Amino acid sequence: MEGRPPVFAFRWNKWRRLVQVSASTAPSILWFIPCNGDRRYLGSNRGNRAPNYRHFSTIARAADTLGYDGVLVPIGSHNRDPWALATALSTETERLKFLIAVRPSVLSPTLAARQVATLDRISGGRVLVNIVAGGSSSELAGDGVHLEHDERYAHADEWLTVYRRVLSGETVDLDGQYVKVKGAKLEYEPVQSPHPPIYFGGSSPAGIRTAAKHVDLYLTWGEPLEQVAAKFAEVREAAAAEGRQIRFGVRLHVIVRETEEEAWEVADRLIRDADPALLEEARRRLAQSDSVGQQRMLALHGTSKDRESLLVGPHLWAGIGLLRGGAGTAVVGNPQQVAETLRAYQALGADTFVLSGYPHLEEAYNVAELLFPVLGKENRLASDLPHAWEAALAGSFAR
Amino acid sequence: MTKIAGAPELFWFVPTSGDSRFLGHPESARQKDFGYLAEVARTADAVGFDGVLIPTGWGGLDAFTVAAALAPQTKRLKLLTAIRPGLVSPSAAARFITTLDDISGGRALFNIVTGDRVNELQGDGLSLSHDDRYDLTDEWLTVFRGLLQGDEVNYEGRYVKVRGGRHPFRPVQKPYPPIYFGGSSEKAIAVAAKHVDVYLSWGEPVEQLKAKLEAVREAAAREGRTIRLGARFHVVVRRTEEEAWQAAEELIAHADETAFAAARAVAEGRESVGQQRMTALHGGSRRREQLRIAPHLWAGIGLLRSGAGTALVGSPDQVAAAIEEYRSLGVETFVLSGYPHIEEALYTAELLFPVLGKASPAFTPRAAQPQPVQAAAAQ
Repeated sequence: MEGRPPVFAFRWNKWRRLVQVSASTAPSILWFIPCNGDRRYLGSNRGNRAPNYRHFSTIARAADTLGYDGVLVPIGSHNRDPWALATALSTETERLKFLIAVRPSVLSPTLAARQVATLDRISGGRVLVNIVAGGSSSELAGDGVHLEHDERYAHADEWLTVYRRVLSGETVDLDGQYVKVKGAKLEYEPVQSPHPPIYFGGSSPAGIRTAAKHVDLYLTWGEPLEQVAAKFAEVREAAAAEGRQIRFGVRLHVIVRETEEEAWEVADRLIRDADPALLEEARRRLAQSDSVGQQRMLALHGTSKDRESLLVGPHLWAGIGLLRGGAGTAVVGNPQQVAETLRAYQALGADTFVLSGYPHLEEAYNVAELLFPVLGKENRLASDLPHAWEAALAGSFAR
Repeated sequence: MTKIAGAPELFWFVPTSGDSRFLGHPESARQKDFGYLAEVARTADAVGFDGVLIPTGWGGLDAFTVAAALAPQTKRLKLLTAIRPGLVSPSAAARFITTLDDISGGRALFNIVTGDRVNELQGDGLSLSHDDRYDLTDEWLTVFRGLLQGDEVNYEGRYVKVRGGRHPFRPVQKPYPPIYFGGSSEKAIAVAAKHVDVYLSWGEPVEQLKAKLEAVREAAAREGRTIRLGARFHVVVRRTEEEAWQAAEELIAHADETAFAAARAVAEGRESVGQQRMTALHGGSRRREQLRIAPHLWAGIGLLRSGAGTALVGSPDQVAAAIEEYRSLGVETFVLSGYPHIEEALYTAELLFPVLGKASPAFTPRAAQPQPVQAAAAQ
């Protein structure tokens, strides 16, 4: 890539010193399965797609063919069940990994361990587990979970203790405050040793404490660089205090087009039809969440659809958060601009990006075709066949 | 014997805890591998079984996960997936079954198994007594069914407390996939009567099962409900009775003493009335006459396997007659299995299906096949 500035990242060496390393290796890129349905626009009734398996299967197979490293399969009471979906999709894909959201409070750690080991074997080691302890209290009450914010993380801590040790082959007794098991064990192992990597999202101090103790990769929603830098530093420090190292990842939407103008037009159109009353209502509902990450997302914008007021960093647009809970920012621009933005997160230590875009099938192709080459990542579907075909056509005209 | 109209519903079995040619015989064991389980399920699908039971337990691959993986690989087969209520919230279970129903195009079924292995339950964090476990199942099913029907659920039980529970998706099967259930105690039957659609029993002799099923039917009637009935048997069917008995008895002929002792220990660790009833059928005896507890019912499998421990053994006509006898008690669904599960699925479909009047796409009756001579003449 000519004109590309040298890029660096920081890692802990074996003496626990922070060292600069080249981050020129391409990051892991995961795509997204929209388990509550897919759409072309936000806040509109046009172009919505039903949450059915045939469609998810099309998206997953496209991501597999294009060369994505994996897909995030999210959880929520308005979502299809991520475990059932990911399992079925694993049988229809070859290389794709499945980052499957698991809510510790709704199932026992030993049952989760059996499910994870089983799917790791079915898929040939393609399971990644995303632990989601948080969410909204009212949603969790509907799941029969009545824990306050910090209690949820205390529960997740005990749950993860049993889950990790059982998957690693130990027999576990724990008389915890929330989890009490006697002689817990697993009778067959997962493919990945000691267990499939644990990803985790959670921005509160309690969340970060739990991450530091247990997880392999800390995921954050795509906040502006300075905020992410501070958060990663805090997590890194907390992990170091536990004598552990943690990898980092960023969850972002992406709108990439050949030119910057085109990309911004797509971004504007995404939310154009949403009426102001709907924006107020979305804000009111999201404000009720006791997730710190959600409040940090909401703080990035008001209720205006104005492009300028939604620009929260270079090429970082907060418009999606007007109408969607959770990850609310998108990187918008031409391939170079989007790649530069991602490299800036890489320089903070992120080696993984979980990307998505509406609608998810079409945007999976756009991202692979336009962004992968600039990131040094292979679009496995890319072909030089069109040239050969044009040549043949030219030949036939000449006759 | 009265012949019941129509063919019974026949399910086969996915051996998630492992398969073998002989019981208690590690040399003939097959890998506990999903690829193999998928072959069993595809075979059952191809020969025309209506469904498969996917059991739960520590030794086996996880039932939820196996069911979801089998859904895209099978076409007609219903996936009867075992679930233990205490280990997962009713809302998460509702999301799972509805999603599986979507993936499979309306082939998802749950088999509610409260659980009886004390060591496993404690390892899973459930230290309730037998009766308390069924109270939990009762509360769990109340919330689960409410969610599946689309109600907003508010419920304040001893074990399950839900505020503003909602399930946004309607299953393909209406109002929701039929709920199957196993449990033989008085307490279990009372819970079944309130909630379930199909009551499954391990295969006991006709007289014994008759009394149990009457109790289930009466309990359901008191709740103003009707319940369908199913029974779970192993099956060894061969062209002649002699061959069948030989195959059955060989199943346990290669086991050594440690295998018998290990199976006995597992059975003793199960805190279930159903298991006690199964164990009582063979009483630990290995004498041939003693294991033949009815003319075509054999208790030998129970010596080496806990849970379902009886097999229907005989020629196609004999096994079919035995099935008809159970059907006359009201049993509509038979969950069958045999070791090894691929080969025996084929034997069962080839030999037993025609006698029961059940069509098998893999074994079309000769009369229905086009005759080459007639086909040529028609041209």
